Amino acid sequence: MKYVGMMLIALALSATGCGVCVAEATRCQGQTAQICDSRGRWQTVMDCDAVQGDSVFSCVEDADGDHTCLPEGGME
Amino acid sequence: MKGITSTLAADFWEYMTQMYGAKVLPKDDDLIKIIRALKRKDLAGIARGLADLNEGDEIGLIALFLSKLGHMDVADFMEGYSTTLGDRIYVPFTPGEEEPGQSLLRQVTTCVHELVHVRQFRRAEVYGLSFAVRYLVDPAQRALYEAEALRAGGEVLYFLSERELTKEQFVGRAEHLDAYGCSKKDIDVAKNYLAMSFKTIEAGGRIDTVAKRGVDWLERHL
Repeated sequence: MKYVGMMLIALALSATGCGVCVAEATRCQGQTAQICDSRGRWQTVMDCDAVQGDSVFSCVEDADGDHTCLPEGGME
Repeated sequence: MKGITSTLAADFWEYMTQMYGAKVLPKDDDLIKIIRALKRKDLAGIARGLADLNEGDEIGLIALFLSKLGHMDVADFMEGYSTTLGDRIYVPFTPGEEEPGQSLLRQVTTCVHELVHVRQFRRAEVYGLSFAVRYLVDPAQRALYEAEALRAGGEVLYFLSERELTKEQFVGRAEHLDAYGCSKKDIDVAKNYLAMSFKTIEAGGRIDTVAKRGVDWLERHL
């Protein structure tokens, strides 16, 4: 029963998108760079596959600990 | 900084708004009539203003007005800010005519910024709520809608600055979001959004499709 309750809470959180992350946290979700908004919801900043440039861009954690789209193999 | 002429700014607006099927309207038109009526609590004036609108965005219109008026001086709103409702962009200037506080450079970045809002209006509804309602009721979401538009304008500014725009200047574009009713926490998220994006732009990436189209046009015409 306890697990059912926990599953319901998790489902409710995922349905509303509230309170699942800490504001300003960043992550890569596949090739998408995301940021956590002030209500604890993951929000897309950019899709690295859609970034245009001379290189192929992919989602990475940089030296500052931020997740963003950078050229594969280093800066252009 | 690359120079923007009056003709170039006007042509940019014409090209970009045509590409996105948007219309440019002067802000001293129906929008200001309704704002003034709202401030006076003049119900008949509000009704007349709404009746003068050509297409049906009244709910979004009112929502945006109430949101903006709650946090911004009405004179500043009328004179300093552009507003987008659906595919209509209300501007407090004539594109190509430089005015105090409305430089030609600012007019170009404003065009890109507002066209991102046009795109946001057209996006599929999320959780059954339209852009206008989410913009009104959710300051955290509002901050991100604005961050997306600020980023696009910033990408064009970065190009026009010949890549000399700094990260601080790029991120600092989110400072004014308190006027939109965003909390410090919302603004910090927006700044981080812009900081993440700046790293990609600095590395040669082009993120926003509206900005890409704008920069491509500017590259051909500058």
